[in-house]
Amino acid sequence: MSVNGSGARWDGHLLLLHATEQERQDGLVQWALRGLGAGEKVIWTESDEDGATGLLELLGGVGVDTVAALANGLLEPLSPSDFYPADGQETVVRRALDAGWLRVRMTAEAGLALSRMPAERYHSLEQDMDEMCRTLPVSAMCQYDRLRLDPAQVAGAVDLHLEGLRERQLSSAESRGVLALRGQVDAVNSDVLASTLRAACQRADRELRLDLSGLEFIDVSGARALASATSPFRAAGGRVVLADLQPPVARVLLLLRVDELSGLAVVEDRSS
Amino acid sequence: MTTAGYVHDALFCSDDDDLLDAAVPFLRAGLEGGDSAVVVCTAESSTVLVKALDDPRVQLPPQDLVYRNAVHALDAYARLLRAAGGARRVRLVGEVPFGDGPAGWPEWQRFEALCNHVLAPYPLWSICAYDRRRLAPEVVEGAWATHPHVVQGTARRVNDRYAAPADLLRGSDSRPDPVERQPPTLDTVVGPELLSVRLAVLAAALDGGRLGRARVDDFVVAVSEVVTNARVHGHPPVRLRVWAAADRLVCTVTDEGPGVDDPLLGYRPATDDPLSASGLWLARRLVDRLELSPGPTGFTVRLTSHR
Repeated sequence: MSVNGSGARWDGHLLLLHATEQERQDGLVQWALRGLGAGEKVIWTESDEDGATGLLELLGGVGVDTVAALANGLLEPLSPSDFYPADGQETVVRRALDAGWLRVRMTAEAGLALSRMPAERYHSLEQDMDEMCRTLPVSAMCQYDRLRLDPAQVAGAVDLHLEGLRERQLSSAESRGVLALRGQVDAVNSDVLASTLRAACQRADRELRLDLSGLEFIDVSGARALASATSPFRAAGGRVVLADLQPPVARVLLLLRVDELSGLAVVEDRSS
Repeated sequence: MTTAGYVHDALFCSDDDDLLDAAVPFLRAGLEGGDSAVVVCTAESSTVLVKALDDPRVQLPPQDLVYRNAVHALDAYARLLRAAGGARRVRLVGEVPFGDGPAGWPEWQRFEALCNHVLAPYPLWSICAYDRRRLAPEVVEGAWATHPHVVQGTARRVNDRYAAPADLLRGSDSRPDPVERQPPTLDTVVGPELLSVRLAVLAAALDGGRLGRARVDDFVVAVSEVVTNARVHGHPPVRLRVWAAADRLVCTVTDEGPGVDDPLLGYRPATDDPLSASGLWLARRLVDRLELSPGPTGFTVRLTSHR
C-alpha cells in the first residue's frame, strides 16, 4: 500500500481493509509513523497469538526508537481489557488528553475485539469512536481482515467507515462535503466499491455525488458494481453524479454506456 | 419481411450502374417508409450514390471512422441504431474496406461473419457492396460465405453458400506475431492481484513502444480484462508476455487450462442492457486484434495494437 499524498491520509476514523498480512503491516506502520511524526500518542492493543508481528517490532524494524517512545508514553500498548474498558473507550482517550497529549490515535484488529464481545457491542463501540473522532483530537484505525470476514461483515465495516476506507487499491475520503474515491477498482476489489456505494446511497437524500478525480482505473467488474450497487437508489428516484472522471475511467464507463443508465450523470466539476 | 431483425445482403458490382441499380431504390424505399438511410462507402461510391439519391436525409459517416476493426465497426453500427430514434429501421449501404493487402482480409471477413451473429436482433438492413474492380477475387468470393442473401438491382435471392458464423470463425487461427521471435519486453507470471500486472504492462508499453498514451491506456485495460478472465477461468500459472515494438504492442496471456472453444466469445456487445457487455468484449473493443488460441500446451489470448 503506497503512501498517497499528505500524511493527513492517515488521520480520522479509518478502516484498514487488508487481504494479506503484508498489507496490514504496511498500513499499520504508515499510520503509526504519521502519528509519531506529529507527536501524537499512539495507543493500541493486539493479540499475541496468531503469529502476527507486533507493532513494536514493526516500528523497530523501520528505525523507531521504541524503547524511548515507550518510556515517554508516545507509544502505549494496552491489554485488550484495558483497550476496551467496560465503561467505554472514552476513558482511555480522556486519560491521555488529561495527561497533556494534544492528540491521540488508537488502533486494533476488529477480529480481536469480535472474539471478546458480541458484534452489537463492537458496532456500538465503533459508533462511539466515530463520534470521538469528530469531536475530540482523536484518530482511530480499525484493522479488518478481508479473508476472515464474510461479505456482510465487510459491507458492515465499510458502512461504519464510509469516508475512511484504506484498502490496498482504493481509499475514500470526504472532499468538500462529497464522497471522494481514489485509486483503482478491478475484479479484486470491486466488491469493496459495491459496499461503499451501497452504504453511501443509504445515507444520501436525493443525490449522491462522487468525486472521482482520484480514481485512476476501473474495469468491467467495477462498472457493474457501480451500476448494481446504485440501482435500488436510482430506481427509487435518486440521482448519482460521477464528477471529474479521469480519461481512462471515462473511456471505460462511456464504452460500457454507464452514462446512459437512468439516474446516473457524468459531470465535469473542477473548480480550478 | 419484418422489421424485427438484421438483414444482410451482398451486392456484387462490376460498374457504378450495378451499385446504383440496387442501392438507390433500396434507400429511397426506406426513406419513404420512415427508415433512416446510411451510406458508408468509399469516396468514389459515395459521390455517385449521393448524387443519384439527391436527398439530404442520407447520412454519410466517414468510412474510416466506422470500419476500424470488427468490434469497433459493430459498436459503430449499434450506435447508429440507437441514434436512429423514431425510425423503424436503419437501411445501410456499406463497403467494407478490405484494403490493399491480405493482412486485413481475415479481420474483415470475420466482421462480415460476426454481423450475422451480433446484429441479429437489430432492425438493420444492410447491403454490402463488393466492387469487383477494386477487390481481390478471394475477397469477393468470401462474400458468398457471409451473406444470407444476394441482391441484384431490385431482385433478392437466398444464397445457399452462406456459412454459419461460428464455423467460419473457428477456421481462423491465431499465429504468433513475428515480434515474438525476439525476447519479450516483459515476461512475468501473474500473481494474486492485477494492479502490479497493469503497472508492469504500462511501463513496458511506454518504455519500448511508440504508441500514444491513450492507445497504451486502452491496451492496459484490455490486458487487465484478459488476465482477470484467466485468473477466474484458467489454470495457473498464468504467464504474461509483452513485446513493445516501435510500431505495435503485442501481449500474450497463457494459462494451462483448456480455455474456451467459442470463437464468438466477446463479440456480442451490450444489448439494451449496457452492462451486459463482458470483459472480453471491452478488451476486443480497445485493441486492434484479440485472438483466442486453445492448444495442447495451454490456452493463449493474443492482443495486438498498432500505431
